[in-house]
Amino acid sequence: MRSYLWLLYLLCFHGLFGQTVADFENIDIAIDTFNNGSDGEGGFHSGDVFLPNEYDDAFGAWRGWAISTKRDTITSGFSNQYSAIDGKGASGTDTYAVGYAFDPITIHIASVSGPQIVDGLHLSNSTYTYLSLLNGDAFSKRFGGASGDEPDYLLITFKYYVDGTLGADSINFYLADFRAEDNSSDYIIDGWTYLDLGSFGTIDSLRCTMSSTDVGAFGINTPTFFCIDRVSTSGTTTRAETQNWRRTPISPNPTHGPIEIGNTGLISQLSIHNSAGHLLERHSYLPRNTTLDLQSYPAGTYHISYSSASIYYSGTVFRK
Amino acid sequence: MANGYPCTATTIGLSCIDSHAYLLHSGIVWCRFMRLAFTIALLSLSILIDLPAQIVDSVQLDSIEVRATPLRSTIAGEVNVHWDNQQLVDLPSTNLSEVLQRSGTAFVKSYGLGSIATTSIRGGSAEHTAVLWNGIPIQNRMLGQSDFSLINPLLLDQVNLQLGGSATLWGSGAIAGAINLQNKPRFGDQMKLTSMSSVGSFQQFGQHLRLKLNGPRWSSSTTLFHDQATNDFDYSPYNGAAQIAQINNHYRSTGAMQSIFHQPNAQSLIGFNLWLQDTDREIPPRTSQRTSDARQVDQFIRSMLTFNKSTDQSTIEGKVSYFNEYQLFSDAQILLKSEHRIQTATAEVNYQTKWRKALLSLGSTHVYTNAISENYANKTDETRNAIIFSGRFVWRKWHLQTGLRQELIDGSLAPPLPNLGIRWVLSSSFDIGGRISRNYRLPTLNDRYWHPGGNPELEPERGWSQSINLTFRSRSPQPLVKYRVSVFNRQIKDWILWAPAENGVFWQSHNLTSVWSRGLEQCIEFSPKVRWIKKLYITHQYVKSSNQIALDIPRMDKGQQILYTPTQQGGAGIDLQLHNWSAAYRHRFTGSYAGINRQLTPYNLGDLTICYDNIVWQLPTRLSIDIKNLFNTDFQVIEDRPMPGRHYRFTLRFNFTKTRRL
Repeated sequence: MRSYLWLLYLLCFHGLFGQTVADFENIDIAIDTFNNGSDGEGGFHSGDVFLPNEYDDAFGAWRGWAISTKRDTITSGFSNQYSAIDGKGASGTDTYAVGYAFDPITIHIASVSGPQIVDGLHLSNSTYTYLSLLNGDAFSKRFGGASGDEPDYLLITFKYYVDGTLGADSINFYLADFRAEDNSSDYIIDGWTYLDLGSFGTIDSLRCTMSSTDVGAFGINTPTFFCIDRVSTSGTTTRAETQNWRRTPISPNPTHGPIEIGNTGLISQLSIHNSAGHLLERHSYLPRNTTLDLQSYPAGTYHISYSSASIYYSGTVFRK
Repeated sequence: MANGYPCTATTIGLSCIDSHAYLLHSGIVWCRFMRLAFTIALLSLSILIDLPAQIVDSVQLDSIEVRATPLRSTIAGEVNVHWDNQQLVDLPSTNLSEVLQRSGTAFVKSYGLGSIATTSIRGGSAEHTAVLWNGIPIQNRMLGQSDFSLINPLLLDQVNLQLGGSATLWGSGAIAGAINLQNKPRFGDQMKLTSMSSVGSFQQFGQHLRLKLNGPRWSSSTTLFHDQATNDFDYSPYNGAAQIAQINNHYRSTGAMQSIFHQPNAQSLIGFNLWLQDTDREIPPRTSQRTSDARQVDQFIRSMLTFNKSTDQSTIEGKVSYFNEYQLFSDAQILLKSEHRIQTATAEVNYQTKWRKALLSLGSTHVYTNAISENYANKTDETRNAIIFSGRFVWRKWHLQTGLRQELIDGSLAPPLPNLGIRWVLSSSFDIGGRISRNYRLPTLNDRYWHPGGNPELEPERGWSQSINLTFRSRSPQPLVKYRVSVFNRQIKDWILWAPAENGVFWQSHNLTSVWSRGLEQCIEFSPKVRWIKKLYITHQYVKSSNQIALDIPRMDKGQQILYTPTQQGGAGIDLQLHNWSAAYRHRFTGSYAGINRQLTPYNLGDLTICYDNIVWQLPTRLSIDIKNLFNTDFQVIEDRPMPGRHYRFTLRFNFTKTRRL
């Protein structure tokens, strides 16, 4: 009964009307360091978002998201992959997130009140990407080419998932754009820039895909690192959207323990996090309509993310 | 047989020798070896002073003591190209990549003047050419390939290029061809000092000294060289742009080669070879890069002890070698400093005997490699053992050569590698040869152990190759016409490529695809009756090397030509001589081919060399001017790596020879 009251409170006063800002300051790392997922938590929670991370212990490599307080705005190259070109977070804060998107990566909504509207977020180039775009490096070209006339661009395309289905709409953000006839209009993003994503409405997660004009047989040559900060979300506002949340393929929800992940194909990766963002379980290659048991965990909110074929899904489940 | 022109390659059959035991060492301080080399050179000069001799005022041809292991030196039914020391000296080349380029037998992937140069032979990758020094592989074990820009041809007595698969003879990597760099003894009573000094465009400076001391039982050859250049050539970064000077492209290379042979009796030969080299070069920016602070240092010590004992019926040969190689790649801009050290110990033994009309050979080889790199999680070792059988049979006009190699790699059996070559001498003008062989290439140390992405579970690349060669040679020496045509076919499975790992977190080496290579090589050479025209030749190569499995990354469709492999290549040349003057013009055509990001445009290149020979102060002297890229062609071999326009090099060479009065 108490948990229902708590949920009602969240829906009314936090979800329906409030705005939450994920600024990653809650993730405690020292200044000029980073967390690339080597702690094995599987991602990072802040505000209403969860940034998934995959870290390979054997090789010390990662994909998805890292959290950083790095300050280096001078050093070019891969060794400086965790710095934002501003050398600080948006609004001068210490901490921000670094995305590595050679393949698409996602930002999960991890609110106890379910899907949210992502009002917007702040974006910036990483120092590695910025200096590579500006000067070129051993693998990627300097944008505009030697003449400065080449119509290059580096683009992030945001799309969204609702109920595990990729939406049709997209919003583009150019981290660098050299397509203008007048070269003086060419630019490379060199500081935090706000991007409005509110038009997507209430969503489960965002998908970020990078594309570049500098592409070859081995894919994008341009470094595919970028930074985000201050992801603003606001709660659901209509009954219909609440209904949508209840039609999630996780059932029953709330649960006393057992849950079934329905309406999916073979699940290639599945992870369960608690509300503090700690990774509790990780599974690979689960069969369709698989069943999990949360009985061993205390009552509370749990974040479940999984991928099935090319679809990514993220959601929360309430353990009674 | 020896020539250096692709057309006059031979298809004579012969083969191998090998065996085992290994050494293991800690690193030896580089400068001590350099000191040793110069000490040997000084000692050699002191021997010279005692020689009762007379000045010889004519150019003498060197006689080389040939104690090659015949079953391995050439392959029946396959194309063999040779360059002897005189040809290597006459070719105005500062590194072996230029020799290969001019021969038209290999496509050389050069990153620029003084920069890395690798080969593609018969549609193979850079890792598919075995490079051997006196029969011992010298490819970089981490990369599985050789940088031909580091090999100075003036250090060598002979270079042999065997086209086609020869993994049976040389082991892993000899899929498309094998290049054997050789030192050979010369016995007699002669001292010969050769000096070559060169200056050229882009502050190029080179000095080479070679001292040969030959006695009845001793033979010593000492070569010292130093090359340097700023290589700050001008180039246009894009069409219509003003020229800018290349930056960060300094090159400096210093080295020494010492060969000592002793013949205690008519049947025995003991040899010691030492090769030291230190190369330091900057790595220039790509055209799409503003600047570069990258630099690469390559240092190595290669030493080898050989023993050969021959009777009328048999030969036994043994070799022991130890290589210590160091590589440093640094880039101050990206705070990168990457150091690698590789030590390789090799031992071979081979027994060869005559049995009726057959020549049979049985050998074994053992290679131990130890690599230390920050990019490997642990110190990495590799042990390769092999047993090799070869046989050659001659019956009337038929020459048949066969072989079988079985390798044991770190305790695991590799696939057996058989080969069979046949040559049929139809007449004194015609012969036809054919060859079939199984070949393979082991994953390199980087493929298996690089951190991250090395994949210890990789399978070796493997497959079969076949070739047919037809040679015609006119009977009369004047005019002389030679024509050779070769057709080859090769399938390689489990081709190794790097692509994103399954979890997408990093790139990993995989056995990703199969490649089918086939093609046609032709060469015609003509020596007319006109006295001042020594030779004309035309070559043509058609190579189709297609990917057989569609891939996402690297993006390659099924049937698509693999990257950096031109389909069409051609060449033509003429050698002229009139009195003391000689000239050679070499022309090359390279068709379009795919790079990683775009299609490279076809290009024509012409090189002209003019020489003047005379006796100066009783010394045979040659002054030559070499004009490269005569037509100032704007071209790139590797995308975004500019190449220089027309440039020059002047070389002054003299020989000082003393012969014992008999």
